[in-house]
Amino acid sequence: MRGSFRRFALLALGLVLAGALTAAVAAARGTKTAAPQIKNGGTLTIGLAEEPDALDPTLARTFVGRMVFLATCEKLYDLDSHLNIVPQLAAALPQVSKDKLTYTIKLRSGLKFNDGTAFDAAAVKSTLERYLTFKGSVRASEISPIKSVDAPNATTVILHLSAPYSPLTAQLADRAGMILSPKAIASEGSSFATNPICVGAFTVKDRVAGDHITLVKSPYYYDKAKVHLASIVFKIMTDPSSRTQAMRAGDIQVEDRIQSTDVPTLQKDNTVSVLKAVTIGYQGLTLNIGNKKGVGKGYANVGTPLAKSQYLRTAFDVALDRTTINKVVFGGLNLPDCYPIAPVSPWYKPTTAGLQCNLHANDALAKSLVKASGFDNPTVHLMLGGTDPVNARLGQVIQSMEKAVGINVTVQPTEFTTSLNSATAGSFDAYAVGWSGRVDPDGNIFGFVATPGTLNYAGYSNSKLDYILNGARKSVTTKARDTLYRAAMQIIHRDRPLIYLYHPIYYYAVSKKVTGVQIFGDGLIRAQFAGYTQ
Amino acid sequence: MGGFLLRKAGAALIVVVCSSMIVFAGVRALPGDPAIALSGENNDPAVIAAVRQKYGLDKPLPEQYVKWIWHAVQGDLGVDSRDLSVAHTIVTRIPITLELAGLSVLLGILIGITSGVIAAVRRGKPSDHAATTFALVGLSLPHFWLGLMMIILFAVDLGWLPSSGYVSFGSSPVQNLEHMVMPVVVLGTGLSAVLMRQMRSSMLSSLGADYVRTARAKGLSEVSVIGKHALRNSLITVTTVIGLQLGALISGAVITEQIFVIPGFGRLTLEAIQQRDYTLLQGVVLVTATGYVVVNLLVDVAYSLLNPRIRVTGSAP
Amino acid sequence: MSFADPPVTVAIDPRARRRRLLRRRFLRRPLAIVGLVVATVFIVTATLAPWIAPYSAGASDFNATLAHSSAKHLLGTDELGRDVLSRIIWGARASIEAGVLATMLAMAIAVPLGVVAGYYRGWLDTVIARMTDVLLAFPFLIVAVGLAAILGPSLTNATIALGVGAAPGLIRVARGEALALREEDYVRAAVANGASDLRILSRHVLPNMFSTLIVQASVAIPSAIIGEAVLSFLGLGVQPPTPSWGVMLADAQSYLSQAPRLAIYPGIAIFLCSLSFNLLGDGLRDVLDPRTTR
Repeated sequence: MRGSFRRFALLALGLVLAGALTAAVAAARGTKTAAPQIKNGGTLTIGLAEEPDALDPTLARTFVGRMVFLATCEKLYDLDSHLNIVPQLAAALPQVSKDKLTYTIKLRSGLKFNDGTAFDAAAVKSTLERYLTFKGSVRASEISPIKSVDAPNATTVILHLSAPYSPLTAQLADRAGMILSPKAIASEGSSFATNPICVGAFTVKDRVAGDHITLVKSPYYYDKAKVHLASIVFKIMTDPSSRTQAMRAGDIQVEDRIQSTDVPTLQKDNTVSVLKAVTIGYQGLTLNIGNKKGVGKGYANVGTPLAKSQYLRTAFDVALDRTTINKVVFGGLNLPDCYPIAPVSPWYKPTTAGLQCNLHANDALAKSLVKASGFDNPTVHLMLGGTDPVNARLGQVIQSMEKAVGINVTVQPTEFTTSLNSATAGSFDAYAVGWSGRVDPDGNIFGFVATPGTLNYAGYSNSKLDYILNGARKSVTTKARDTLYRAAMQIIHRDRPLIYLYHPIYYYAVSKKVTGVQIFGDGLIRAQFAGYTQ
Repeated sequence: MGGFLLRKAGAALIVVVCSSMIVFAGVRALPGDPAIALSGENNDPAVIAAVRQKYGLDKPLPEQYVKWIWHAVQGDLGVDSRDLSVAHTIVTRIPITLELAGLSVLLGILIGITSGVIAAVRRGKPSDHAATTFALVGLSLPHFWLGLMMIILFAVDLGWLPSSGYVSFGSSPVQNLEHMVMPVVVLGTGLSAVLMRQMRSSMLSSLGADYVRTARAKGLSEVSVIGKHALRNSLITVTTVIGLQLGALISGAVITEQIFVIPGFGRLTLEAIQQRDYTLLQGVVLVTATGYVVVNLLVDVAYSLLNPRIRVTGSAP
Repeated sequence: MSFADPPVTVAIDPRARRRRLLRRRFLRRPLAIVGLVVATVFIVTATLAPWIAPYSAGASDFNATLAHSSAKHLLGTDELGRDVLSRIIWGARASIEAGVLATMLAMAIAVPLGVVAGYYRGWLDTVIARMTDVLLAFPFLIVAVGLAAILGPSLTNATIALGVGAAPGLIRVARGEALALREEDYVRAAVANGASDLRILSRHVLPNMFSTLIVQASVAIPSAIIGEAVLSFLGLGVQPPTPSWGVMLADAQSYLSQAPRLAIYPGIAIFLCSLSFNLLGDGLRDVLDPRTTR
């Protein structure tokens, strides 16, 4: 009897111990699966692919500059993860008058600039006026329809327009909506870039040209509690291979735009998460149809085979196998397409309905189109917008594909800045260039194919298209604009002043030690509320 | 000696002035309207006009030149397209290249002089052949390829060294040296090859000279004979070679900084040209030319101190 | 060959005797012979490229990118499916062309200037010396980048930049030689006899500089070959799709972790090519310089 009791006791003890062990393990597992604690403090180093230009929103033109501004210079409006416009410094979306000429914007109250002064309607007024009147302001053309600005009280701003302009709110969700501290403007004037003060989670501490920009947490920010990092450093790392090496070595915690050949390597690295952003931009070929004397100086057909024959332009398009281009040049990582608006945009479906996009080449059709054009063995000079290896690959692949249908392509790798000059002057046949993309469809179309467009390198002038695009700017309802942009797309697709090849998908790497870094479809790295978890 | 120095300094000044004019004209010969280049993606005519005015591009050329040179001698090299002071940028980035070049020259001297002496002393023996072969390989190797190969081996495969970047000595001496190892080897190899061959040749000719045979006959120890000659020859050799190879060193530094992504002065030059940042480019090339001339002047002075015959004939061969 | 031929003593022309002596000295140096042979192989490859290369330079096979070596592609294919071996053969053209032409350009600039400076001395010498200094103050890379930016990148412009970059060094050598030669007895005698400058220069000075110049050329060529590779690597020289070893290296940079062999092959080609010219140059220097007795 005693023996069996002892055995029973041992069994019970064993069960209790096993139970306790299981409970302990479960408890440990449990704490592991609980949400990671974000630590306060630390410096986040972001490796940027290009160098920002002047840090003054009045003059800024670079894509990466917008990333620095995200952390230092908030705007009236911002985008959410679905690319909808949401209020940031404003309290709500603008109220538009019936005649579409008056916008009333209510502002948030109690906010401070990063020099301690109060953010109010007077500051918005002075900023917008600076954007409109400052000599060399790059923002002026973006908000040109604004005739005057009123600030009846501290939290209300009224914009008076000279003509209806539906892209306005989208513009106020970009640099044109970044509000600058009047005190800083008054003291710095034209050298605002050296010490930019806005409303922001961080302020610029120092900058070494070509090397880095250091930001530190601002004590004046209204949402200070959500800001965990003590500082952010943007390191300029223009060489993509070394950027990836730095990421793998832990020298940077966020990598901007991984080059396609490195993406598979980083995806296999388990200390790093690879984020993807399908952007609203596009890359393609601009064909010179009417640009002889320069952009804006009067267009007339330039007389090259490509310019004279719509058949030849279509042949050029149809000979390109977009899927193979994507595979060979970009490792299959971009999104082949035929339109300037990206599939992620809510405008895509309505505006491209009924159009055919050829993702694969149709050499037979292309050859017959070349024949129909009447040009025998035509030559096209393709200017690339860069001397980097990716552009070189693209040029050579296009050359090879066009050769198969009887079009001779000579490839001219050109530095980006030189290529912009040549494109503006009209000294090119075809130009491989893209556009970073804007939320409003007007931003991806008007400047390039409308007669008064400032980026109309193609020299394309179609009065019907102009009428449609102007109308689309003025109408405010989505339905009306859908119809108008669809009509515009039909014209563009037929005449082909631009051949759209793909939408870039940007890949970013974030260290697994960091959380809270977000990328939306605009491709900008949002790190203001990020923090270290380990 | 004073007259010699003065003449040399005068010549150097002329060279600097000529270089500045060439830089100024050359930069403006770059194609395309600089105002358009500086305006970037935005083609608004008002913007372009404002940019033109801001950088004084609408004034006549001689006036632009005088204004620039006048400010330059006062240390103000203007602001670049990012509104940042050019002088400040240059001053921050030069020390990095100086560290790279300095360490490379040291490495080159160390390897080159020692192997040159050994090769000369042990002439015809295996160590001479080994050293000569090493020098030949060093001369024939494309250094940027050497850099790529080293990156593959030491950074990608073995993971011992970082493949690129720069950490300042102040923030972490260890990391600074880690990042410098491969670039210094790449840049120093070519220099060591040239030094080795020069050193060997000059040692051979001086060791064969009559007075040396006399010294040996007199019973002076081999070590002291070699040592004295080695020292004197090495100083002359190094000075001459540095003078001749300075241009190659600068070019080498540019490409080394490019491959290893070191934010130094060499890379700054490339960036300035690629971005058509005229103010920055002018400042950078002016500083390069001036630096080159100054170093050459020092080399000439050192050379004349070491080799009195030069002063008598008037100019270095 | 008849053994019955009686031995005949013929008066041998001193120049022919010297040439025979030099040839014999050259043939005693195995390394120099190796250099000559390999350099010739490269030159022949470059000239006969259209007939030797298995594929044309631009032939792409998009379905066989980054392939390993196979019977069809002895060294594999690159990122656009082009045969690597063919591109190396075609690439020899750019390198040899640039190397030789740049050196010839440098000689064409340097020899007249150097000889005039060394022979006449005086103010001409000073002007040329200053000019050389100014030229030297701009490293060849900066000149090349500037030229590429002004005139557009191309092999021609790269060659010009390399030639201009090599000229100052050669000016100094030519000047030194002319300086030394003008003190030679036969030159002084010719001057005393009233010979014209042109006659003296063409008959006495230049021919005696010949051997030094040959040696300098054979050393300048490999440095120009490497220089062309550097410029093409930076995108300032040969433009794609024309192959060049430097361009191949630049393309290989993006694929260093996936296919390092794409960087190894062109590098070896550059190395062997410039090594062979260096060996040749060293051999020539040893042979032509009466002072070395090895």
